Amino acid sequence: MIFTEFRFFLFAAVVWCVFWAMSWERGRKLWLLVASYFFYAAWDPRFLVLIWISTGVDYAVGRALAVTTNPRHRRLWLLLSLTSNLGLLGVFKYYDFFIESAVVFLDFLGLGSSLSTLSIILPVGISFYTFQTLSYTVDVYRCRLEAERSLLNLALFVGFFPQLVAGPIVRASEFLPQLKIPRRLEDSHFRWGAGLFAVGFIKKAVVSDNLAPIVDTFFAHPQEYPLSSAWLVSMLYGVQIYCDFSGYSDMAIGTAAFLGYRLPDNFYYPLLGSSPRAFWQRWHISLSTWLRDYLYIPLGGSRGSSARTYINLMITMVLAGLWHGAGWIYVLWGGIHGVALTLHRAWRLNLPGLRRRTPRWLSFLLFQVFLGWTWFFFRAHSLEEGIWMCLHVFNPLVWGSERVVNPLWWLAFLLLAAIHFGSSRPHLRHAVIGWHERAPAWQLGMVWGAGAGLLLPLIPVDPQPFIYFQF
Amino acid sequence: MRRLSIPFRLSFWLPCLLGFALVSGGMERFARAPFQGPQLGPKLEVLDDRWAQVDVIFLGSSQIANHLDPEIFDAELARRGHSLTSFNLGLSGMRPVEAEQILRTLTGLEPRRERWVLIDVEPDATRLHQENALARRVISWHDAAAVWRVLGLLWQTEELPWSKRLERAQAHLKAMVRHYSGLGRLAESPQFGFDYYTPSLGPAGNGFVPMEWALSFEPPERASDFRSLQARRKKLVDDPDQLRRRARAIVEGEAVAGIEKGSDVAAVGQLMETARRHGWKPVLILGPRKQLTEQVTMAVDRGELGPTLRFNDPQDFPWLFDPDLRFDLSHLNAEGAQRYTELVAETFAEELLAAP
Repeated sequence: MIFTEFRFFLFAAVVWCVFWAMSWERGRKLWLLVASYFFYAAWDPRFLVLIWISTGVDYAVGRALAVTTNPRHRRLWLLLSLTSNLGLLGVFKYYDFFIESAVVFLDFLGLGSSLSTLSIILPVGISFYTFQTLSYTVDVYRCRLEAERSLLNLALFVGFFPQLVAGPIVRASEFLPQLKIPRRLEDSHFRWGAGLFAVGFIKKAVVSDNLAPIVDTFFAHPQEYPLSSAWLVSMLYGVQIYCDFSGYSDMAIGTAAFLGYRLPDNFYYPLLGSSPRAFWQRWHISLSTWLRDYLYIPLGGSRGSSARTYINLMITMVLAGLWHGAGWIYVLWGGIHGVALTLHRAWRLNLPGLRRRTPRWLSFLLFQVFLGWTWFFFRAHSLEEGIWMCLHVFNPLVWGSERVVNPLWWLAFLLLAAIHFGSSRPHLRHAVIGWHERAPAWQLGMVWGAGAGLLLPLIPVDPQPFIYFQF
Repeated sequence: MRRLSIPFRLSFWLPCLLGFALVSGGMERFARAPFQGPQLGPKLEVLDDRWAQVDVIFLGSSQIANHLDPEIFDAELARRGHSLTSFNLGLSGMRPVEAEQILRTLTGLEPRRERWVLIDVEPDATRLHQENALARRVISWHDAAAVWRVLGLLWQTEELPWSKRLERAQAHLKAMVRHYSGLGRLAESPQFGFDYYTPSLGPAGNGFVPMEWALSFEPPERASDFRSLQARRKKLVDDPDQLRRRARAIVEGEAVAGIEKGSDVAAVGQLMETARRHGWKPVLILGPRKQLTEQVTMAVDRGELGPTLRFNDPQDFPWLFDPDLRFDLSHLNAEGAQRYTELVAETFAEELLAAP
């Protein structure tokens, strides 16, 4: 069940009606939990067990940490949570990758190996909810959060359906306090949530799903296209993945708002960033801040020497790449961004004069070329193909001419870029949001109806799965 | 709670519906061709341009699209002293209700005058192949009147169990929802089933698509259903002995299972009646495929369906079933189509144009 499907609308309507029809707060939460598990089971009910294990272990660890003051015991409890959560993630997401890599490495050394993979199906959303539950135990361990007494609350924090399968990665400190205050329909920000959901829906169903066939067709035979088509598709892929993922996040935040809950923002115009640093401050914010708070800073952050900071940055980004997928292509992609962040940091700190003199448009342009270059790598079907494309992105001679992407897509790209840029202007943004919040019902109805009439024909009737589900 | 009060909801939903209807209606009016899909849209656009000159429309399934060449038809009529211009509006798999909806659409075109429409439609009137259920051509004909007609026919299709009838009704109702919501009609990947078929205007741009030409058309990779159909046809063409044996069996009277349903007679009858009501002069054609039209043929014999040109009996027209003129069991090859068109024109001129 994905957010752009009719059955999700039906599901969400039933959940919403029953939720607000109940006045018993505990009953509401119980209903939401049941609905969330149903939502997840629509993919594969078997993997609900993993969510229950994560929830159960972290509830027990949280309660144990609440009553234990002995630092050694606390560390052991934390270790239990880390090993069980990361263990599940490791087995279900990374086992085959590590085994295949080990086999290749042992073969390379001439040692041979009889290790075999398990071909395990990747449970949807495991990367997301694992990081969520880890944030809970680590925060309790650090005494930044009180251990949750209610198993129902913790289970709902882990399993809340709007963010269960593709984020945003919600921190326990952001969500658990909301579960302690009874929700009121008047405070549910319904109009705001509906607006945000609609924006997310348009990003996903109108933009991303229409770009998917272009991108998929190109990457099926990339070497048969000319270089100009390759760059066009790379740019379109950037738009596709942004609209796909940020669209999902918008819909998740909007759905939660219908129910009176607030989820954190996950994107803030990342494609308009003019440096790797700006990009990662605005792209998948809930993951980058999670990595910053639970990995980069514990590693030492920028408190040590420059060399140590750069190493911390690289470790963080390589693991960020690995989080995205169990494959060397993602590790290298993370590494490339790590190198870019490192170089940018060195340049920023060591050449401040030059940095000030560099026009913003130039840094924007250079960064867009870099970003487009990394998208080739991220989307490639294999490491070899990714490396081939990345090595030849400035050499038109090695690319083919058998096929070509319709150059009219450049116009579509520019139109989308103009809309994106326009919507990032604060005065315009505030004017639109303000109007949407205050407009009389008839005006709102007319605009929504006309918008639906205009956009429905552009929505493919076969919805594509969300790209980030595979992560 | 004001926001959820009934007056608030009405003041939101009524303008919402109005805005939706206005925009959808405007798009339907000004962007009709892409909504009708790559099969029907181009044919209707060309017909629209030539409407003032056209006197005869060929309407129906591949029995029309792949068999009747307007150029030969017009030349044959001219030779017999009748100056008429025809256009082939046939499309693979066209069933009576779709044909009826197209006729209703054409009725709105100017200038209005009495025109002939030669009809040969696919049997099993309520069938909607799963691979075609999302095709733009299919969505485009599913307006309320057409779906109402299909539901009525389903009620009469007694050969089908109720579960099957409900399944079909659901598919048609879904298509109607898509028709009115406009969902996906202009999207980048809207092509399914019929949308992938051979370009419908054919090599001469008059709507006639010879089977050999259709076979040379390479469908896109996504079109798995049409690709497999093309592959099956190629295999048959590559094995002329088998084709010969089976065509001979038809001529010699071996029974071949058909998909015709009892409600087809009613469907064709309604189509003919609608055509007459809208000022057309409808003529039913029973094309050279004996195995599929037994009940309709009996209705024709009883005189229930109006003027009919019959070519479906191998005893009367054995040469139409000659393996050398066949492309496959249901279709003639290019040479067969040429001779068949001449035969239709000749019969049409003698039996209908020459009649007082």
